[in-house]
Amino acid sequence: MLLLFFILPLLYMVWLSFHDGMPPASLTLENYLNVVTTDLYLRVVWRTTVLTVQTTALVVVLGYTLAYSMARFSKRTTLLLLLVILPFWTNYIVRMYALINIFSRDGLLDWMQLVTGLAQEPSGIMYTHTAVLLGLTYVWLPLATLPFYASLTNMDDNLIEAAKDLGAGPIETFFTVTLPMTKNGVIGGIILVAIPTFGAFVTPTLLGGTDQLMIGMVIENQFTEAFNWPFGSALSVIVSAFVVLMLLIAVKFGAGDVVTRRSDTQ
Amino acid sequence: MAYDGNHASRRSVLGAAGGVGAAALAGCLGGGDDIEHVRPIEIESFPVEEYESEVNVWNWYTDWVDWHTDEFQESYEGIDRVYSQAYSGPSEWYSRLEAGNDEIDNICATNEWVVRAMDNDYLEPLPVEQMEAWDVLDPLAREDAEEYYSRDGEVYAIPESIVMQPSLTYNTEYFNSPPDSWGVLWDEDLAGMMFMEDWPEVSCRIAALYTGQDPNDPDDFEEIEEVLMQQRDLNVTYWNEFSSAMEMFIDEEVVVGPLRDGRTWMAQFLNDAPIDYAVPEEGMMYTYDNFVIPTGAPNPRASAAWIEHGGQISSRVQLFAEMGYVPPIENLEDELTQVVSEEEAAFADWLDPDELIFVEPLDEETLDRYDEIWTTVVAG
Repeated sequence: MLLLFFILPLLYMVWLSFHDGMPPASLTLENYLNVVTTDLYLRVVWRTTVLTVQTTALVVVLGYTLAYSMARFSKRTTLLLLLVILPFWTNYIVRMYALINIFSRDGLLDWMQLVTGLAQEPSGIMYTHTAVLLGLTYVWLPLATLPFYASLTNMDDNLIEAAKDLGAGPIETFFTVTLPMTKNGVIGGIILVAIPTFGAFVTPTLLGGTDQLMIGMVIENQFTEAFNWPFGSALSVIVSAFVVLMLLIAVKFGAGDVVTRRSDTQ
Repeated sequence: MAYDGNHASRRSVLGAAGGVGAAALAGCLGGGDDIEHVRPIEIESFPVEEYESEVNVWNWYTDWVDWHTDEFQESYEGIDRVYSQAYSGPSEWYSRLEAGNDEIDNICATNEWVVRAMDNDYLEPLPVEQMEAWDVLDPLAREDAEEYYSRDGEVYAIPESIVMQPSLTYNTEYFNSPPDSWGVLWDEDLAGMMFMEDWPEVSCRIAALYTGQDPNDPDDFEEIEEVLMQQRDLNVTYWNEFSSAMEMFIDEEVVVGPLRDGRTWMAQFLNDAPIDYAVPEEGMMYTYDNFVIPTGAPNPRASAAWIEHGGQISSRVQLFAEMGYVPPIENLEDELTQVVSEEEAAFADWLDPDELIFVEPLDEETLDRYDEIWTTVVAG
């Protein structure tokens, strides 16, 4: 099954990326050369990377705070977890349209700002970098919160008590005990957010303005409009390489511990 | 609604979500009738006398499909089920044809996708000589179909609607008179009050017209890129989704930009928005949405019957009444006033051949260049 549904499609994509047209066509490296020698695509990749880092950072901060609050301060965790995953019950596109209504001029966000006096006149944040960033954060926040929560609940509370007994304050305890002990969950969450964000195209397409071109949008366009599948495949291979790189980094810095630890206990 | 292209509309997405199950079911159940399977081209006369009991239709004119389904089933007794799917982008149905179609009977396919599908043998030729849906077409539409949608003397598509691709839509309260040129999109006084369409084939073609070139076969791509770069910062956004673009006009977030005539009509007559379309001196580009039958259609007779019934004048004018898209028929205004007001019918009065430029399917090189240019422009 792994071979049929994962490996073969990936190999086909790699194979296609080395052609100068749809097979049967001659083999070429031109698609990759085009990517690496055209600063246009490198700029798009860079922009995508920046947005991915921003989104991931925002999700980690918000998601970890949320998970920490649920794990430490709430007794109704089941209900809260249900609320966290509630957005997944709604179609992704529908959620995007909901955001459009919120972000648009005279939308819900404008109304709240006017009511609270934060703004004097409606402006809306649609078609801006902020809209895309918030949209991506909204979409991936639940996905990251769950591994954060799992790692926090698996942590031994006695370690926190021990740190306090030894004189550590709340902030020092958090950074020297809680965060390191939940590192695997954090890295897992980062992977779950960074990978799909890097390939995102629906959110920036619907919420973004004239400056929000991401690599996923370029790839999508190659397959559905330009019909240059080999070049789209080459771009996809590069995105996939980024994903593999992320996984390798995650394994190196700790997510591999989880695998190792589980293997040890079996 | 030519080319709701790669762009999901609110209605179509919701429709698609609801229709996908039914369509899948149709794929499983389709073609189970106990009648001889024929190719559409082999049907000798209309109305079809013997047909399957169901048909699976992919058409993004959702309001019209709802209306037509009832009429169709009333006229063709024994059609028990009409499965309709409102796809959000042509690549959805095209990928199914590539995979080997055995579920879709009928598609409303836009211009370049018809040619693409035809060139890859994904479409069935149609018995147009027998069909009234063909006879009622305006000569312009018939000639275009014969030139672009036929191979070896066989026609593969019958135009369902003729569509501005795009319309030059503007706010009638902001402008004292209609803009007379695509150059209005380069007017710096309108910075922050316009948008462009996020589709290379449309935006690059507009730029080609603006620079005095043939939009179907430009000779100076660098100039096209240059003017699009100049125009870039004047835009609020590059829109990618039709209903949002229409609402930006309704909300007066923009006062001018490329849209479609149907969307302009909806905003004007269904939402009372102060907008209209202008006819630029460089010319108005147009295309067609077309009835086609894909190869492998499990219910070819019912599908041909759907086209024949939907292609009657009474059905075609209803498309305008429901959604504002113009049927490519003769005596258009007279026919439209049977179902809409004279004011609404006058909206469709843009078919002056002297001002029309057909959006021809692009050759591979031009398509690639347009795509490169647009990627460069959008990447800034």
